Amino acid sequence: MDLIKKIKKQIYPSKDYIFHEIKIDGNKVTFLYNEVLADSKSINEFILYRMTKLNTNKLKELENHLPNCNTKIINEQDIFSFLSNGYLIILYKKIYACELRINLDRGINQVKSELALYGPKDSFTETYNTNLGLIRKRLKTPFLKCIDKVIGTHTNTKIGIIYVDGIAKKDLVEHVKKKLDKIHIDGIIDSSYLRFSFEQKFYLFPTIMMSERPDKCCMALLEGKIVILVDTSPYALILPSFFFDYFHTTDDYYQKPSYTSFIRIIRFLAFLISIITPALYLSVTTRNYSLIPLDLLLVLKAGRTFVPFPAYIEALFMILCFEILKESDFRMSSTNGSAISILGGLILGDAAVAAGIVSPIMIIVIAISSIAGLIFPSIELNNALRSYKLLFLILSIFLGIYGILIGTFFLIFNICTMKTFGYKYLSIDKNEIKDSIIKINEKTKKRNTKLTNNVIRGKYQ
Amino acid sequence: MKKKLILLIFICIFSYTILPIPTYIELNHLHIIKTITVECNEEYKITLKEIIPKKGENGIHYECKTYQRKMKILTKERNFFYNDIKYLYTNCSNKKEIIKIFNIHPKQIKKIPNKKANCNN
Repeated sequence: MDLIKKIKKQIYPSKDYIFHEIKIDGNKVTFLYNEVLADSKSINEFILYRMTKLNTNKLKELENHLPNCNTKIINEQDIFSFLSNGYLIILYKKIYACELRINLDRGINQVKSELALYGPKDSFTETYNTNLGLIRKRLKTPFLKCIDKVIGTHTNTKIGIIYVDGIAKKDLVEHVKKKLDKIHIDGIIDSSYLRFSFEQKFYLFPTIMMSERPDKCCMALLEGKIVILVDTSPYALILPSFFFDYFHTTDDYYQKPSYTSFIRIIRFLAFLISIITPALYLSVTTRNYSLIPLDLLLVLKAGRTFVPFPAYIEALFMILCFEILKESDFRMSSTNGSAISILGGLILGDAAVAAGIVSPIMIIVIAISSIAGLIFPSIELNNALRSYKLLFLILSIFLGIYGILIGTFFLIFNICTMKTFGYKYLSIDKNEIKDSIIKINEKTKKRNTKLTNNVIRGKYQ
Repeated sequence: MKKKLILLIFICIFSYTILPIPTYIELNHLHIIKTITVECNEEYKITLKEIIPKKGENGIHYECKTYQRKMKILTKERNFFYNDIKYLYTNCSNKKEIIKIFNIHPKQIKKIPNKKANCNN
């Protein structure tokens, strides 16, 4: 009785916790559940119905008489954890937890942020078990291991470290486990919270990939990588991730290698265009005129004749406008989003040129640079590209083409010195080079030797 | 990363002092010179022909503007862009010196024509 009073005191004044007491052969049995998390209909129709038919003898072995395969005997301190997970708590001599959670899942939907022409279309949801099921559905092997952890003082969020035993290096798994153990946080609402705890503060480029595609996670697992699933998050973390991983999409593995190589080269060019184009335009129109032919210089000058602002103000203004448009387009519904695109892209762009505030060529330059950045589905990489774009722009304002050269040197130096979980961010081994910027079709595909000792595919150690 | 940033700032400052960084001039303030005429008498008389692109309804058309300067010592003006000069018209003997001062690479060095040239030549 003390326990019930204690629980009631703890949950006061919340009304969604339901207490129900019944008497069986004079024995008092208390039921406790949360009506928004547990399935009240199943509790009434199955559990209570069955309980009323029990007698004192059967009550002694209550766990054997409940019509539920997931019934556990738990401790007093775990009551709220189980209640929050939709369990029905039965208090009779012992504390029983019976899984009767209600389905609060939105269901498996189509991929929205990492679209692909071919391949599976299903994506992760906010439910941990569904997400794990989507991976297990694809990798039907007992070697697929999942280590569960609970992180978050108030959220008690379930975290799963998933790897393929025999492919993933044990050191890496241990390293990730230790890192997770060190995380002490109030709550984890999304997998991004974990990413921030894992990643180095000053790295501009992402070292952990987020994905909502189960097929991508399975590919990563077969490469020897580790996938982390977080309950309530539709994004899995793939780690470690390397520089060239961001140039790959799942589509690459569903198409001919020659076409994949072509697209990857395009992506790499887009990466360079995204960073360098505004800075290059600024340097050739303010300092290094001799780098471009006279005819082009005259065309550029004709476009800028009536623009009253310096070119760098114009460039920064256009970048700012594009970022505002992009952000508003992300946040708005699809109906408003298209209206914003028309208003921003057509009306504002055209009006700005007609008013002589910006030159048409500057709009082209910023548009090319921004669209090139959008070729990558990773938001983290887009953020890194944006930062480098601004860095290059500032360097070119002060140093012209030398600024771009210094920026390029800094970019290469930065990528070369970055590390992700002890591995070099840019390192490429002989097996990986066949699947980096280009893709070569091979009869025997080999894994990345950095991540696994089990290099030949199709063999377990 | 802090060390890398310090290194970057150091390289920038170092480059700014060491490297021959061209002067910052806005494109609409830049005078693109097509031909240069240097007359040597008691002093130098320089005639610069600027080509000005104008945007019209039918696309871009070009206009010319002529600047004349008289100076005792040849000097290069800041906002003038001489790199694409094709012809140098001069009656001076120190042609090499003129080319060096203006840092130009003319295709031909010609005598000064009697009549005024139009925008196309």
